[in-house]
Amino acid sequence: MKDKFLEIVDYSGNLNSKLFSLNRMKILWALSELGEDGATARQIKNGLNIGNDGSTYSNLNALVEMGYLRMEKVTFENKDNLELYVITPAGLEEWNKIKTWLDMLVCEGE
Amino acid sequence: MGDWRKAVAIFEEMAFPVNCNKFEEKLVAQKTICLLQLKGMNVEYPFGMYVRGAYSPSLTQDYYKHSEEFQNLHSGVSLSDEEKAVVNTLDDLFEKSPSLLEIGATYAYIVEKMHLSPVEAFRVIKETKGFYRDTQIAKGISKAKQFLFEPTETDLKWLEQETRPMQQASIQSLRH
Repeated sequence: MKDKFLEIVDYSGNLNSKLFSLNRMKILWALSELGEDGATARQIKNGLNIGNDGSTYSNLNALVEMGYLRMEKVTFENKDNLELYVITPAGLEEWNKIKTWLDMLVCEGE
Repeated sequence: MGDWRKAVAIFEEMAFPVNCNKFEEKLVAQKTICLLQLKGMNVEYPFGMYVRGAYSPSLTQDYYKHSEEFQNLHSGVSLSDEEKAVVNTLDDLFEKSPSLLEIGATYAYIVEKMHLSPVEAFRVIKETKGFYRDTQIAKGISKAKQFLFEPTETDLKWLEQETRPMQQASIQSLRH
């Protein structure tokens, strides 16, 4: 604890505290694995068990505003205009920072 | 590493060019390769469960890296007659329907690779693909079963015994 304490506190200064919500972290995690393919809002909502449309869209919109995701409309079976979300390089960088910090916490506890 | 040339040959057989800028086409490509691999065709792509369902990031890398070949369907390799037959069976069943392929491939992956029971797999599909209508879910699962789980001789014999009394009753009812 004593050895890593200052390092962990220092590193936390690099993080965007607005990302520390369960749903936002789940979204970044899931999209970080899909690259340019991304996922639709309905896949994110159902696949990550986020809850309702309000919660899904408020988190997705916040991540878009922060520049961590981009949204584009895609057609599906000739009738729907689905919203596809893709992680941006800034989003991936931010997610990697969070992972590094979580790793520091976990390793420090072992 | 997947065999991208074989993947292109599969889409060539289906007459289905894959444009990596088209969401639907990538979805069809992913689920098609997944189902063919579950059927035993070796295209060497590792699949896993993701927020999109059964999905292979290696295949994604390949259709971006070799986008021209995937779009122009130039593979330089050919499938065996047996492989072509499997591809055509799948194509006839699913008719390149993105929704049915998404449901069917994900259901099949959960049963075959994650070893969940069909009932549990159905529950997962209802949760994660709940944005599809129940009839679409039933149809997608039914097509995956039809494609992958062919009845054995024992199954057919059991089915014949089970349905014989009903068939006999039906024939008798026609006589009156």
